[in-house]
Order: sequence, then C-alpha cells, then structure tokens
Amino acid sequence: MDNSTTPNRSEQADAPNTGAGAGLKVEEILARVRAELDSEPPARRDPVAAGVKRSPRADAIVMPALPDPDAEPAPEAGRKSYKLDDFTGLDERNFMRAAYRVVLGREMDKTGEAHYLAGLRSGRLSMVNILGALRWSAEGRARGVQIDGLLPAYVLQRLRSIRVVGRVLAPFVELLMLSQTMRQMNQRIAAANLRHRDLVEHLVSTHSAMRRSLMKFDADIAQLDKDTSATRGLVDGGAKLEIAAARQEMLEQARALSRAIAEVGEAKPETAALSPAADAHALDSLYVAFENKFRGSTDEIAKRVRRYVPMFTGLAPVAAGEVVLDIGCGRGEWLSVLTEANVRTRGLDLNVAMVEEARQRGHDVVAGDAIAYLQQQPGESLAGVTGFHIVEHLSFSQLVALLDAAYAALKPGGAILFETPNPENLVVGACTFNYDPTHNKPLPPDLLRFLAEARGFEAGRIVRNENDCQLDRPETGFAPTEVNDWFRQPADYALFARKPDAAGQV
Amino acid sequence: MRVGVATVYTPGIFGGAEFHAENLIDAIRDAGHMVHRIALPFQYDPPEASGRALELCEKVDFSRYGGGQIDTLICLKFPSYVIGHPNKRVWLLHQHRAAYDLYDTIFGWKRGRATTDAVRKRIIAADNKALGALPTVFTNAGRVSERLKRYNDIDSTPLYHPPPDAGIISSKPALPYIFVPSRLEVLKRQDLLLKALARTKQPIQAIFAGAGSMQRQFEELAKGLELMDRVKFLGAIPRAEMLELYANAAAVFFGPVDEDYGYITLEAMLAHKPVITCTDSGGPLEFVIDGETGVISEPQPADLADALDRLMADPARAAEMGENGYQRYRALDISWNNVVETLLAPQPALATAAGAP
Repeated sequence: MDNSTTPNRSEQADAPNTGAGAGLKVEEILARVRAELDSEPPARRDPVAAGVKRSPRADAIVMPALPDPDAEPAPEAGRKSYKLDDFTGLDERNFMRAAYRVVLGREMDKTGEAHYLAGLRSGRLSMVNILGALRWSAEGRARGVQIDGLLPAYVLQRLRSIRVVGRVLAPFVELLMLSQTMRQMNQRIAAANLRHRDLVEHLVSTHSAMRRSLMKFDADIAQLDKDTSATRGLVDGGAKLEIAAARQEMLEQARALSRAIAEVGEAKPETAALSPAADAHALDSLYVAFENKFRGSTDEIAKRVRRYVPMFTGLAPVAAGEVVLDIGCGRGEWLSVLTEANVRTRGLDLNVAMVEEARQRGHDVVAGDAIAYLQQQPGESLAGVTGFHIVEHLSFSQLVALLDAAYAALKPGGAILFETPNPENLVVGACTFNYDPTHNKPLPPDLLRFLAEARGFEAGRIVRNENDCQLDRPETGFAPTEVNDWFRQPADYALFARKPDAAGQV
Repeated sequence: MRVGVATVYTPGIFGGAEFHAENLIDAIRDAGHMVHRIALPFQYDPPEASGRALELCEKVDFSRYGGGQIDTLICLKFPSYVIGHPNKRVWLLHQHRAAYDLYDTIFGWKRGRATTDAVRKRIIAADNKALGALPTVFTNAGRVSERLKRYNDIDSTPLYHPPPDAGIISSKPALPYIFVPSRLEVLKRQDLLLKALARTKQPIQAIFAGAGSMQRQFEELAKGLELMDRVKFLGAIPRAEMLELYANAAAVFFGPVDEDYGYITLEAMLAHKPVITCTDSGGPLEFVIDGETGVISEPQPADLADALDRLMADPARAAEMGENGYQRYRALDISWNNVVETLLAPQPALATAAGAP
C-alpha cells in the first residue's frame, strides 16, 4: 500500500508544510486536483480496474535470509591501482578470489586454488607472497596492475626465503613485517567479529521467525484436530447407520439373486414337482421385493409404527420385563423401535429371508407359524402379541385361532395390537388391498374389534391416527358425512385390545 | 475450513449490509476457506414481518445434522444469529434498531402499540437467548457493543474491518481545504460545519462531496451565510476523484449524529489526514484522539469554528496529526485478515478441548 507518495509538486520544495498554495482558491484547488487525476495512469484512477480490493496479507511469516558470505566487500576488478589494505579483512577463499580477479583479471583456477589456498591456510604463504607471486608471474606482469606497498613487502619476504641472505636478514624482516602483519591480523579479527555478530543476529531473528511459524502451525494443527474429531463424530453418527443400511441392502440383493439363480435352475418344466419345503419358501425373496416396493422402506415403516410404542410401555407386564411377540415381524422395524424403548421383544416370521434379515439386525427371531408357536407357549407368559398386516392374510377360522392362542399366551393385563389395511378408505378396500396376492379379504375395523372382544379381549380400540394412540383420549371413530370422507380415511388402522388383569380390569 | 456466512436480505435491495457480507465472503475465500452462503428473506414492513423472519430463522437448525457440512457459521444480522449451529460466531452488524435505540423515536416503533410491542418483546427475548449463549460476541463497532450492553446486558468485542478502498488510498501534501465526504443528510450534519465556517477568523475553505436529500437546503444555507466563494458542493463524484480529494486535503470533517462506524474516519486516517468530528458523533470517537489524530469539538458552531481555526492555523501540526492518525490505523490492525482470523479462531473453551488429545 502506498501511503507516502512522494511530493511531486514543484511548489512543495519551498513550502512543504504550509500547504502549497496557502492562497489557492477552492476553484483553483479543484482544477488542480482534477488535472492531477487525469494525469494518473488509468489503473490508479479506477479502483475497480486496478483490481485492488484490500491490502495484501501482512501477516505472512518472513524468514530473514542469512547473509551471503561471498557478499563481503572485495576490491572490484578493473581499477587502475589498489592498496595492499584492500585485500585485508577478507577470508582466505575470498581473498584468493579477489586476488585472481584483480591481478590476473580472471577467476581462480583449480591448480591455483589447491596450491595457494592450502599454503595460506597452513601459514606457509602470506597474502603478500601470493599477491606478489601472481603480480610478477608472466600473466600478472602482462596486465601490470598497480598495488601500492606490494613491491617492498614482497621483495622483503622473497629475500628472507633466500637461504643465506634470508638468515641474516630474517630478524630485520620479521621486525619490518611485524607491525604490518599485526595490523592485518587485527583487521581480519575485527572483520570476523563483525561477521560473527551479524550471523548471531540473523540466527536469533530466524529462530524467532521459526518460533512464530511453529506457533501458527500449532494453532492450525489444533484446528485440524478439531475438524477431524468433528468429522469422526459425523461418521460415528449418521454415516455409520447409512453404511450399515447400505450393506444390509447389498446382502439382501445378493441373497435374492443367488436364490433367484437357484430357482431358475430348479424351475425347469420337467422338475415341476418340487419338494414341499422348497415350495413353501420359493417365493420368500419375491415377497421381500414386494414388501420393499409396496410396503415402504425400513425407515418409513419404523416411523409409521413408532406411534404405537407408548401404548405398550405403559403395560404392567411390559414394565415387568415380559416379552412382546411380534408375529410376521418382517425386517424387524417394530422390534427395533420397541427395543429402543427398552421393551423386550421376540419376532416370528414364516419368511426365512425376512427372519435372516431381522436376525442380522440383532433381534431374537424365530421362523415358524404364528398360531402353532403361540399354542406351544406356556400360558400367561407374554406381555403382548402384535402383528402388522398379518390378520388380513388369515382365513376366518385361522383368525379366531390366532386370537384364542394369543389370549391364552398373554399375561393378565397384556395386550394385542393388529394393524391392517383400512377398508374405510375405499381406494384401499377396492384397489390397493388387492396388490398383495396373499391377502385374504379386507377386515372392517368393527368386525375385527367384535372378533377380539368375542374371544375375551376387552376395551378394543380402533387406532386410526396419532390421537387414538393416547389411551386417555376418546377414540376418533369414523362418521362419514359426505362421499369424500370415504377417500380420506387413513390407509391403515390397528386394533388394540387388552386381556383383563387379575382384578378383571383393563 | 468450511465456513457458513448467514445473513438476511430484503429482496431487491443491495445496500451496505449486502456489500459488507460480500466483502467478508471474499476475505474468507481469500484466506483459503470454502464459503457457504445462507441468506434468509427479511421484510422491515409491516413490523410483524420481522417476527415472522425470526420464526423462520429459529426453524433453521444445522446442529441436528452435525453442523450441516459447515464447520463454523458466522452470523451478521438480526435474526440470522438464532439459526441453530454447534459452532456459531456472531459478528453483529446491528440489532433490529426499531426495537431498541430507535424504539419510541420517529425512526422506530411507537411505544404502546400492542402488535409492535409484542414483536419487540419476542425480539429482545430471542436476542438475549441467542447472543447470551455465546462465549464471545463480536460487533462491527464499539457503538453496537455499547447498545448491546445497554439493552441486553451482553458483553461483546468490537472487531473493525477496513474501508473498501483501503489498499489504494494515498496521501499528498495538504492543499488549503477541508474535505467533507459524506451524503448530504440531516444526520450527517454538514449544516453545522457551514455555520462554523461562517464564524472562523480565517477564510477556511471546504469541499463537499456527495449527494443527498439535503443538498438544496445546505447550498441555500451556504449562500445565506455568504460562503459560496469558500465552499464547493460537488454532488456525487467518481470514487477516483474522491480519493484524490482525500489525498490533497488539509483535514477531513466527519461530524454525524451517532454514527455506528463510518468508513470516512478510517479513509481519512489512511490518507494521513486529521479528522474533525464532534463529541456526539459515535463511531468516529473510537478512532479520533482529540489533539493527537484530529479534533473533537462540541457540536456547536462557535466551538467548531474555534477548533477549525486552531487546526488550520498550524498546518505543520495538522500534518503531524494526520500522520499520527495513519499510525493509529496501523496499530489497530484493521484488516480483513485480522477479521477472518479472529472470527475463525477457536473459541477459548473449544481451544482447550482441541489442545488435549
């Protein structure tokens, strides 16, 4: 963001603070401002065209760059003359690089590097030795770079290395060279100190930048953890159920398919005489498919039957922990909602595919015929007998037998509930009832109630809607006043009736 | 992160609040998040309609779907903050003012009318419940926080956002005029400035930018006060010209009656200009430090004239105040980055929960 645009008006120089034209009139000011606006590049003039909406992120963490060790000030090549001091203060490698660039006008070669750098580092060669050797090599002489103070120093050092003369001269040379060497050493130490301090400073700021980014990182991770646990929560909840349901459905389809294949294999014309057992269950998976198509999904059914739960949770035998037996339990929807409400349940179904499926859902389910099963039960052992869309499959005599067997198996105070299609709705009675090829005939509510009460049950109640599920409320009943009423009745109703308790009360 | 931004809209109207929501959404996207926009319809009229909008929002509940694919829901306006969500933030633009500070004034609902009083009672109850349940409530400005404290006794934190052109406002040396960039309305009180200008010892000049319902009246007033050689009404001008006038001004006048926030203060600060405002101006008082970054005057022509004279007599000091204002803006860290990070930062309680593996 540019908030300190450099003053670009010429008057600024003479009166920076009193405002350029202290005497400018409003009209003149406006003319100026507008003229200036016109001279601006279009991007600056039009905020939208400039695409600028807000300041860029200012909080990005910037890592300070470490200083480049090669960026030490070295004498640049190409000058006419140099001083010996130009080369002090450099480290060995940089000194070598600078010496080559200055004296020979080229980069250091491998041989030179190996020879001189090693000599310099071991103390065998001094900077003067190297500069001198380079300067008065054939290559150096050809370039003839001037380095003040190099010649006498170089000559002195050379003299010292000549055997005899050197021995004689040595003390003098040492003395002469000492102050210069000392100065160079001091300079190098000072330069090294400076570099050391810079490095430490940079390390400190790098460290704090890293700490800041770590903190930000930690915050991000904390957030991520939160996100993850939230996601996990989701999976634990709805998704798990969905996955289970999908798996169930796939299993069911696989089973149905293998059964269908087996049936196709068996159903050859010449093998028309099937064994009775196979015959009995040959249509089981077809019926599962039928239920799926016309009765509604598991969820829908569970929703529909949930309204009956309070009618059972209030029963004394249920509270005492006795079992509610659901005949024709199908996929176990009603068993599930009862179990959720802490009611003990058992299911019973003729259809082995259904039994298998309900068992997979964790229910206690028996395969078999309802009437026979109830007759085998010890008397007064059950809290309830229920059946959804069962009674309309039975013949009259079977229905009576079922009611009798249920009455015998129920504990006093227990209850029956049978849901069945409601012929008070003419569409149901005339049409949809007949979808199910195994249906016998529709049962008008009053008929079913009459039969139950005739076989000993009491307080028969026709449950047409939610209101009827509340036992303390009067039954809704059905009193048609116009033709349309016969089409508006709920598609199903249920009969609820009690076996009187020990005191003969219901 | 998947962020929801919930607000209400009145079909056919795209005003400051809608613009504000759009800017927030852009900023959240820029910060690398996914944004889901939730906008529910809202009518101001008839008054019962706000009650219905409240009911509508109360029925929207994401918490039963584990947040509904939204990690954090940011709610901006009444009644969007009653929407159910397990991780909700409120950045309150303003409450339903007709039921609060404007209640029983000419701008709000009249006291004693059964229908509106019933709606008002429900609104206050809903606000208390929804806002009171949150660990932190952010508001657009200190004024909004004050009202929330006064009417609902709920503590909140102002969270400032930058004006739309924050990135391109520049500064140039001062030319001798006061810039008055605001719509010409009674509540913006340009007439007060005109009356003060008529009383100053120096011939101080002013440039008014902006149109409004009071333009004719204010121009008449300026004529009557014989100010026409010193003031200029530009009407509505392009944004670029506006910025240029900010950049060249000696000072900016912004003295409305009880403004909530007011971008003008911030724009002036970004242009390194001192701000002249009044003791009852509301929002600007959160930013202007009297004598440091501008001048806070009593809303009387005589007082304001004195203040103008003092400020304009010492251009060096005025420039210094402008610089201080800019530094203050920087120090407050008014940026969309800050807004987004603050809104999306884990709430204190949640942070500890996430910190413990």
